[in-house]
Amino acid sequence: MNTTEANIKITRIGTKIVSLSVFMPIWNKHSDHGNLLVQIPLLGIDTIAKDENDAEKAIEEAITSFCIVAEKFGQGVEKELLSLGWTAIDGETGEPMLGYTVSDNSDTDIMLERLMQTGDNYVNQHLEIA
Amino acid sequence: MPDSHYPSIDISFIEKYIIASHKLESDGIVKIGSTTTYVVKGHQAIYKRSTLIRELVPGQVCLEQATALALKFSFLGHLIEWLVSNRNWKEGSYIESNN
Repeated sequence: MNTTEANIKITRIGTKIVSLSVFMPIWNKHSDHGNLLVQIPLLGIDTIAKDENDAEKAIEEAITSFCIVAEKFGQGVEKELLSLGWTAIDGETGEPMLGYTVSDNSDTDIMLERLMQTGDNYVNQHLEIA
Repeated sequence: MPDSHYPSIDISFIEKYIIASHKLESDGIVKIGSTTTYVVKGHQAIYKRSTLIRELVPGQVCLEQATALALKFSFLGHLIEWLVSNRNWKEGSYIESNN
């Protein structure tokens, strides 16, 4: 059995990305200097924020930046997510999505699944990409 | 004020050395809001070629992020000199002024 820990749906008009729908675990922790360290390991990104409210903005900026950089300098968001361990999945109505799934058929994956559950769920149904 | 104890670094200083390193992609500096991503040349996956920083104070980068960039783009010596000259900060603490 597989558990989907994260998913991203990409909306394009022509070849251009216009928005994303994102569901993904993130981790926040306070630094020694009063800042908030925001970790988005499923995108390979660490960022910082002033506080919890600013963290929301920091995550949006990080995801938007990832998309723009992947499109401009990489092989596109879909392929760059595949190289981070994401896989192509079908959404509820069969639409194509990318998901991060953990299977429970090995001890390593069970551990990973438990780690995933320690994150906060970041949900954004409509993140516009400039 | 624990958040202001470590010195911050001017982003313009950092970018001067990042650009001079010639490691970046052409136009490989992407700014979205307070976030800047530096993208180096190469054929690896984009997450391996990207370094992201965020300005919590406009124009300023915190010490941890600046140091990471200085290591990656080989200007740590210049950063240490800049901290002495511009922030009165040396070897992990502020220099006592005798003036």
